[in-house]
Amino acid sequence: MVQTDQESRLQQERRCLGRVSLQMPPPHLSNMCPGCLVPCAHPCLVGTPQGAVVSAVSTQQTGVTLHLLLSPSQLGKYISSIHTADRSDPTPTPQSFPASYGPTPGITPAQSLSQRQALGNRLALSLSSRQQLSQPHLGNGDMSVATVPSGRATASLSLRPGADNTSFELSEAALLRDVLFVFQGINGKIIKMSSTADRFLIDPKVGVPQSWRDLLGKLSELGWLHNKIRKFVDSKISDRALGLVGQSFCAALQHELTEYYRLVAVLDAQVQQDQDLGVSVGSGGGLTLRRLVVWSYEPLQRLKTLACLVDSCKGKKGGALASVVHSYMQTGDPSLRSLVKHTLNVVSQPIWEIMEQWIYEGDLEDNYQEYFVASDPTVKEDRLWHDKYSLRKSMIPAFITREQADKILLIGKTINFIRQVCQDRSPLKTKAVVKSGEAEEEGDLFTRDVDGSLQQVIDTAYRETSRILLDILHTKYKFMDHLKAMRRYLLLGQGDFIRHLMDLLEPDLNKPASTLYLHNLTGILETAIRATNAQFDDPDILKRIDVRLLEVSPGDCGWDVFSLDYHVDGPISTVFTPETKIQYLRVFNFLWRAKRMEYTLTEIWKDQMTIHKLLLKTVPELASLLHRCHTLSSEMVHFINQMQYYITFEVLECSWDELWKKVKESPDLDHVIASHQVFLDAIIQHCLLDDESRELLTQLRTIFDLIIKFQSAENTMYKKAEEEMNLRLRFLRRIQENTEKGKWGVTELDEEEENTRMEEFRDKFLSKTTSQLRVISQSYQDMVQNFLLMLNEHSDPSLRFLSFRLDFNGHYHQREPKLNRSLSVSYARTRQRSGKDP
Amino acid sequence: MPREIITLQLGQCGNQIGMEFWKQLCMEHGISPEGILEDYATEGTDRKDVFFYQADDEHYIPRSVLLDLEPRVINTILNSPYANLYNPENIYMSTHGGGAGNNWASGYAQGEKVQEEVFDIIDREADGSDSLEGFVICHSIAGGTGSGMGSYMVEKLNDRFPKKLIQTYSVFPNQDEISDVVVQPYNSLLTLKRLTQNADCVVVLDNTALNRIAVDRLHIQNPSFSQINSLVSTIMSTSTTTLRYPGYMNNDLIGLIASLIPTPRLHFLMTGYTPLTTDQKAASVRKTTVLDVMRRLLQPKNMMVSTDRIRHINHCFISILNIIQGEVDPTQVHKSLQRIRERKLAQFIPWGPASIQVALSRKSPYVQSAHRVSGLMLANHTSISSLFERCLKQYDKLRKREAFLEQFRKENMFKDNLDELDNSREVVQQLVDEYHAATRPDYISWGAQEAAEGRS
Repeated sequence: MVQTDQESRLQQERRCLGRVSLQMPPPHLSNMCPGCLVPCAHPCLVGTPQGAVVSAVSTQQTGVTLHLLLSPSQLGKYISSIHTADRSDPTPTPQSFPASYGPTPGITPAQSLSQRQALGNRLALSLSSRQQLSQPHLGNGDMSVATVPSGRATASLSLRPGADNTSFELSEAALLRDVLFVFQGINGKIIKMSSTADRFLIDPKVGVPQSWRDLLGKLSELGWLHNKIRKFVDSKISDRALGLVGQSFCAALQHELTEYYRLVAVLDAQVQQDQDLGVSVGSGGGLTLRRLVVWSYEPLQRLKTLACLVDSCKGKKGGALASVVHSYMQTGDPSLRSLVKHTLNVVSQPIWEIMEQWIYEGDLEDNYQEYFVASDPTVKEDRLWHDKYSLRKSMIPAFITREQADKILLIGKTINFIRQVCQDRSPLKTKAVVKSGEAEEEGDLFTRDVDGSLQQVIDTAYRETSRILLDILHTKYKFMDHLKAMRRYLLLGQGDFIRHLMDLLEPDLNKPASTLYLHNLTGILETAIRATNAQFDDPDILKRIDVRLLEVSPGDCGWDVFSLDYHVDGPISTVFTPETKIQYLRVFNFLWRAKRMEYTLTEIWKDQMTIHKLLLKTVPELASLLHRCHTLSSEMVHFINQMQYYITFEVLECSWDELWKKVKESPDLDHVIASHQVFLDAIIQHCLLDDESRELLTQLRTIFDLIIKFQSAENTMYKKAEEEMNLRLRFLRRIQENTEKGKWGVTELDEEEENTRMEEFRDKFLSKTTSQLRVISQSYQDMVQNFLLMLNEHSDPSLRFLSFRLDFNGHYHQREPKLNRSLSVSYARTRQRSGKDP
Repeated sequence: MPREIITLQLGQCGNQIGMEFWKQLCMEHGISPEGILEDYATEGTDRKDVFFYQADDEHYIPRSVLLDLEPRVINTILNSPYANLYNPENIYMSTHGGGAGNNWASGYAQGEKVQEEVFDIIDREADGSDSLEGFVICHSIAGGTGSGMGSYMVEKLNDRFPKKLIQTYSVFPNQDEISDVVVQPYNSLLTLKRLTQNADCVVVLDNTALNRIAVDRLHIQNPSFSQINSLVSTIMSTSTTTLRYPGYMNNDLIGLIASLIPTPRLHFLMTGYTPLTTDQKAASVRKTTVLDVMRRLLQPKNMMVSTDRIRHINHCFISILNIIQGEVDPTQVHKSLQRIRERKLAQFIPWGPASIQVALSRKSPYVQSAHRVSGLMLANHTSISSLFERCLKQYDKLRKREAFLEQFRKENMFKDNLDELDNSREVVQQLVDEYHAATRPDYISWGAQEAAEGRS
């Protein structure tokens, strides 16, 4: 009879739920669920006069969880452990369980010996007895049965509050039924929700003993907590703006509630059974309020924790929500921790899913802005790397570190860069690589951060994607070649080309800047490329080289505004951004000027070598003047050459060396960009182009200007001297001609004339030019000395290399005592600095 | 291709070292003795066009003119594997083949006679280049053709190409052995005058020092010409490496020598090279660093010019250029310079700023070397004047006795008088004086008295 009863119940249940796992023991349902109109949509609970009817959405998983929740052995294990709710809980739980009130109120000292086993055995015993009694159709020893112990095994417990119940207005059974309603948040007959006190109150008029009132108050806390959670879930479940994480959170709560309902249903069935069997309350194995307190202890803790979560998670979403849940992981209670962990698993599920999409495919399916990577759709491809993706700091879950988040951002960014900017659609094998390196498949996603496998996944994905990107950059886009080209053309590394370009451009560049035409210069550039070793370069690189004219300010000549340019596009422009391009152009301008000085000085030198030989033959009195020119120009040559050597070795070569090393070692594009920036910054700084060196640069420019001035002064002098030379030669020739004709070589008048002219040449021209040269020479030396002084006082120690080079043999030191002093001062300063900061 | 350089090799010595030089260049650029680019060298980024041009059939042909008044050496070249390297039209051998008989005057006179034919060749070469940078002349100053005809060529080149540079690699005779050329002092002196007045840069290759280096440093008992010449070709090729492997600086001859030569007459450069090995077996155990190389380059024993230490004159460096090849960490250069300055390893002129310039150059990938780093120093040092003083001394000895002058008197130049010799002596003496003056701080106003003399 019992058996058929059971079977029919089962059938009813199936009909009601549509889907019931066979592994799950059937809840003790006394009625068909009238509330479950939509099968399986959500669990529903309907109160009936007999008790609560629970219909639950059941899955395999819930069955397992049920086992976790209420398996008697566990219950027995944890029943004695006293704990309070999470200490970090910001919201105090109302009607909190007094800590002093032990969860095992009825256990006598006699039984306290090996409580756990005793209780566990007892429960097992009661279970088996009940199975024999009421559920013989179930497999033997099915430990997953959720049940409450029948009274028989607990008979030895002296749990009964009083000897008899006649003095009470209400029977304990009635109270129990009421409490079960309250458990579901429904007002009972005498225990009702008071909206003013925000708690369940027992009707004070009804006579209930104080001890029971206490117990009831305690028990009704569950109802309050349930209501709180229920309300949250109900209010959020339809909220579309909540986002996936929020919905998962609700689902997790819902799931917990379902489990809770299952318990209530079991309790209800127990009460019902007790009643049916006519077991008087407290007389034997029946349910009592005290027992209920014991049995509800665990759910109470769970609901309390959940309620705390609900409180803390209000208004949060996405990663922030997950962070809050994660913060509740910090509890010593393993059962609560597993609860929170489970919740966290559910909550973070969407985050993991988004992340997986992100790190393997680069897709960002984040409709609710919950993920910690944000994308700006307005950003164009050329700025994709720099600006498109950013971290949403508030959304980084607490279990992901900032470094990990950065790396995750980088991984997806890299994939998107490969796809969109590099136009590479070949499938990425990151996932396979990560999976092959990973022992267990998927598994518990959350545990990843605990055992470090999350880190491993991120690291592997990071290495893999970065490697792919760098491979693409190096092979398909020839990044290194472009870098070298930058050095060769914008940093004048291709010396023969630059030299020839200057040769060809010189006539044009000497004109005022406003008369320059870009197309003429471009043609010259082409010629220079074709005539020098530049022609062997990759045509792709060569076509990127272009001429650019800087803004013309009044008085500029061609030299001032000419600039080479290098066009970049595609992925490469992510490294060579317009900002770095401007830096390159500034460096180019500086190097170009220095190079021009070198060029000018070799011109001067060449003129001296050729013209002086000629001049001295006929105009020997120029010797001293020309010697002066030589020594001055050799001083200038020395200055400019040392300047150039400084630029080559201390600036370009060293920085380049470092850059090359760093780029080769770079694990990802960000490192490449950063080291490139460091390279440029170093050059800018050492080439006196930063703000701090502005005065130095001005001084240097005046020195450059003086060199130009010297050149033009020299040219004027040559013109005049050549005139004189030609006159003298003509005079000599005339003498010769006359002599050949048989006349006197020279008349007195002629000689007189010649002598006066020579006299004039000597007295006027020579002395004037000599003094002019002396002025130039003097001001040049003053300038250089000033420059050296300024270098010594500069804060950048590497600039002292320059000063050291410029005055290698101490020539300027001897002339300028101030230099000695300031050198020692700066030396002391560096010593001080290095002492402070070892 | 801009900035081409035409090489003239004159006389026995000039052709021998010239041949070694071209051999070396071919090796470094991966050009076969026939002038064909080797398969492994097609990817090169070196600049071959400075010294070679490409014929229609892709042959690389040296911009080189071979001149001699006797056919022996050139015939040797033409019988060597490198016979087809040269443009046969660029070879000029005197038809009668008598040579100059180790007589400067004869060489000079014959140079004058054949100048038209020779300048046909040179003009053709010059026209064949886009923007000729200058000429390099290889010769010795002691013999007949190299010194006599060389002198004539230097003068003429200066006339005809006044804006082009003339650099010479001049071999100075060995002072340690008694020469079979008795008129060597006359030849040297007369050549020196032309080198002083008409060349822009003279790289002095002193046979005395080269022999000493071969004996002392390379432990060769009786160094042969070819061993000495391989030293010379190393120097020549290394000194042109910055032209052939362009970098940020020193990419043209003029840039290279402008910084070395402050005033027109002080243009005699000495060289030093390290590490010195003629063959590869002597791979030394020591590790060569930039500092090692730079320090060793400053040691007199590595110099290819033997100079006498003169007490009363404070000889000093006017300028130094170190060309360093190999795997060099650029940061080491600065450290090495600092060390050299701290230890005062080099004495510099007192009248102007001077320092060691360093050029890092690539090494040919096709020539294996046992050394990680090697270096060549081109230095302008005042003590080179002792070489000229030695010349003067020997000349004076001979001149006092009026010895061996008959051969000179046969030629037009000396028919009437020996003024040319006296004049040459004066020029060389002035050169020596100027070098001495350059050791003093007042060199800056040197020539003032000359001007004063001119006025008076």
